[in-house]
Amino acid sequence: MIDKIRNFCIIAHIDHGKSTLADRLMELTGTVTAREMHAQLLDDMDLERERGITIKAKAVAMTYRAKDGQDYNLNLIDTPGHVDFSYEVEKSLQACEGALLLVDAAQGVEAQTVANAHLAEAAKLEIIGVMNKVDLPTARPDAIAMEIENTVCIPAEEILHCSAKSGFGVVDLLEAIVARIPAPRGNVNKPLQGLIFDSYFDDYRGVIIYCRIVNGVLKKRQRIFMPGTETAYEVIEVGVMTPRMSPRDSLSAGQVGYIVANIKRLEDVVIGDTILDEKGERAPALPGFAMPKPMVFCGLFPTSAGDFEDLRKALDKLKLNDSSFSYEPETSDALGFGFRCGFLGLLHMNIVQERLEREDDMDLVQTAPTVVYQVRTRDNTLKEIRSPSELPDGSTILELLEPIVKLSILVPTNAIGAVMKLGTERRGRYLTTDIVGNDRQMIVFEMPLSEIIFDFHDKLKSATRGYGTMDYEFIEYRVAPLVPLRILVNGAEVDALCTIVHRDDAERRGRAVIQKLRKEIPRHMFQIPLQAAIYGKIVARENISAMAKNVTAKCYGGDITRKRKLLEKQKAGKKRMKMVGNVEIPQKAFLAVLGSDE
Amino acid sequence: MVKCGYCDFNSFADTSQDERRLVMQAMVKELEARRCRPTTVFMGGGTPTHLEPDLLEDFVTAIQRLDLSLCEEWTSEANPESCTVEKLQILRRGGVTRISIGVQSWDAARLAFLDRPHGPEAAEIALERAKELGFDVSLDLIFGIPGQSLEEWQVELNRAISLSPQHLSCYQLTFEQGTKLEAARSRGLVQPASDEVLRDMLIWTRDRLQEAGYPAYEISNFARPGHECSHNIGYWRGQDYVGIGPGAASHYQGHRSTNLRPLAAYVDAVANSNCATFEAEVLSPEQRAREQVWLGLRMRAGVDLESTRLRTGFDVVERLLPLAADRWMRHGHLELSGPRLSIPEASVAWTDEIAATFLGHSV
Ligand SMILES: Nc1nc2c(ncn2[C@@H]2O[C@H](COP(=O)(O)OP(=O)(O)OP(=O)(O)O)[C@@H](O)[C@H]2O)c(=O)[nH]1
Ligand SMILES: [Mg+2]
Repeated sequence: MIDKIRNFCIIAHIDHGKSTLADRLMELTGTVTAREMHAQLLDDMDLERERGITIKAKAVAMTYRAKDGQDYNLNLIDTPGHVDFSYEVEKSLQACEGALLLVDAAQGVEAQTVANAHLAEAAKLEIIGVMNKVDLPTARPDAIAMEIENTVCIPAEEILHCSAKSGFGVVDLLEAIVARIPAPRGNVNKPLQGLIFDSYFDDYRGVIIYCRIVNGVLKKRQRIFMPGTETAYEVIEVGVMTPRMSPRDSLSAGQVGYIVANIKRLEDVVIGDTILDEKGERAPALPGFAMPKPMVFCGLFPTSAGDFEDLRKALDKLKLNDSSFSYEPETSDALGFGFRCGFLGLLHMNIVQERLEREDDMDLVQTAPTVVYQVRTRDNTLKEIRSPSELPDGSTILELLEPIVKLSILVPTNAIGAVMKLGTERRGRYLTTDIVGNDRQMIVFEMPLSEIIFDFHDKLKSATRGYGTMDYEFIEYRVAPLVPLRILVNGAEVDALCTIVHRDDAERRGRAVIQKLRKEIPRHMFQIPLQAAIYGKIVARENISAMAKNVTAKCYGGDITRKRKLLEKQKAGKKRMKMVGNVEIPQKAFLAVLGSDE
Repeated sequence: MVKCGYCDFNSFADTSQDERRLVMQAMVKELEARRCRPTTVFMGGGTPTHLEPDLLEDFVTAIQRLDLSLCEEWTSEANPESCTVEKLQILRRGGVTRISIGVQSWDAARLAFLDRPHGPEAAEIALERAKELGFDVSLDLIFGIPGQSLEEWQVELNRAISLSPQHLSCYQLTFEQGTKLEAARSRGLVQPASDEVLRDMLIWTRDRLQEAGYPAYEISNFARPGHECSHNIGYWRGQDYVGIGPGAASHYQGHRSTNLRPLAAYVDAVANSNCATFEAEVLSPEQRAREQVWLGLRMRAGVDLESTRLRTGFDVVERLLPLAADRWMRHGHLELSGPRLSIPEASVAWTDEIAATFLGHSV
């Protein structure tokens, strides 16, 4: 009954209501009972609930009796809206024939609306435009419909209006899914081909594979072969998510479901790989898709050296469920043994760090995030630089290259000037402006990734009074006049504070870092000189003057316990500092090199 | 009765005579129940001279009923405005040997800033009366009052020296949590003196008093040789003491306890059980040793690590010095001579920084 299957995902800008719409769809189709229901049911990870955002895409199988009296098997995938997790959207699109493109009726089209619509178009999906949150008093459905028409070419009259909160319009939406999204095209009689679009690790059952069956049938007990890793397994269980794991006897062409096959490690399954029949006729592998590469790297070091092994264990554990994050041991003169970790973006980095500190109770020093540079040496080899300390000697460097992205910014027309200024300050090259609606435009720049990963989003928000949104995608590496900015504290270079910066910006950055360090490093009993240097030339210097005094005037019988406890508390605070030479540097100071709020 | 703006001690501010009577009766009862045999007595923390003469007399009599055969020093605090001849005579007759007068400042404006009701003359009069009656006299002064310059402080201290008391306590003004002064500071109404000015005042004070024949024996305490306050030295040496009264603290061999602070609760507790302890803590030998080093380093003579070991059973020299003290010793901020660990005069301004390294659970 492949013609009764509809596979679709919900895509949108952050917070436009995808997960809430998924709630209503599950409710109206009776997939989840009213008793089991709670808001954003699919956001089941702790971090998702705390932050109120979706981080991982999630699939749900539902049965819907349409107005034509027929039962349809609807497979929905809820996706995250944040740019760091756009890879989750890309994967999900591969398992679908259609996409619901949600737009908040009050906010209108935003940067990820456009970016995700383009991804869905590229994947040749049928896109249904959905105007959500029409219940809001601030909703402007007509104006927003024009924005949708202008930016993603969905005619205003084809856009469905709904409220994921109240349920208004959701039945019409279900009917549209059945009527407008094509059934999958696969053939149950052909040899098995299944596309692995996601996986996660379960402590008891090992790896759970999410799979879209393209052709053929996959049965329990069948032996499968994965060409990407050239490994074979016996299928222990197949089933669908409702959204709980619900076992079935088989999954057939067009269906989306899960597979349990006694696979021990997440690395043993490659996202984008194909599931084939091991014994029978073996079909060719599907084209698949590539894993995303980490864009942002930072060092993570335990505050006390003894915690190194604990940190390794914690990272191993995290990696089990997050294959997009990478780590390898790193040694720093200043910070000792730690790890260089790679992330999809800054939100991803913050999430990982928060988990480590909370779930594993680790005290960490984090060094400033950096993008991946490339260096071409005089012998014409190209090497990736994930940490400024990996830079070879200056005399052997032929050129340095940095990643360039295409940055799309959606802003109210009256903020264009401010955004243009911000773009130019950040070494952006202006490309185009497009009209989105009456009073909103989309500006596109080419910009070095290093200029946007840290605080660009905050700056954009303040330049646009909160209305600007942005999205970016990698284009290529380009040669740039980059130099290493080295920082000396009390005369000694601190490798963990070294950064790679644009030559023209080096002095200003050097001054900014030193200023920040001066604020972050507490006074010591001696004066501490701070210096910033480029290839041996000092470009900025400051001193932290010596502490004048620290002494309690009165300490008699009644004061002893209270004063002792106070000092002990202050001392515990000092544990979060790292001793570099004679100087105690607080954790936060290692982020000073981001110093942009001069 | 007035509660001082800078002081976080318990006091009888805003109490009626009846309440004071009840508290004093409870204190007498607590004193009898504790049955101690003191080597020193210190009446303070609520300024005894504020009491009506009959209450004062009753309390002194209660102390006299203790076994005072080992007692060689008995101090009473006194505020200039309440230091009448009558009260001083009660104290003298009772056996008090030392009077510690809360002068705080010789400047009317600064006294007003500190919420003190007395004028500069009152302190001098009190001092003369105490001397005439044969007491050892100590004067308390405060420096680093907002707006005060080093020169102004010098004038104040010199005036105190010219009156030749036996003992001087010079405290840097502290902004204690919960005081009116601290509230004003946190709202930006009062600007504390800079650390640099305070340090200069501290150093000058120590030099000046040394030269005037009052060497420092602790951060804020100075005395003619032989006139140091043995009672206070006991605190910094980790000796045992019994505190009587609301909010008073006691120490016995590593057991630290504190009495209830609210007057009514204190009175009730003593009435019911002869005891008003509400908070107690038992220090481990290591904690005790750490605390003793921290406190002992307040003294110019430092701390005798061998007696600390004998008293607590924890060997600081072996277990703590290499980790906690090494870097200080290398830079001359700590000196070890025989078993005695001390902070040299040049580093006294950093005492907390240095001494606090000995606190905590692991270095
Ligand atoms: N008034 C109103 N609020 C809605 C509606 N739909 C969602 N919301 C609210 O919008 C906020 C975001 O909803 P989510 O469903 O978490 O949005 P999301 O698109 O899944 O967000 P991400 O997964 O982080 O991208 C929540 O506070 C919802 O209650 C709607 O139709 N009307
Ligand atoms: Mg969501």
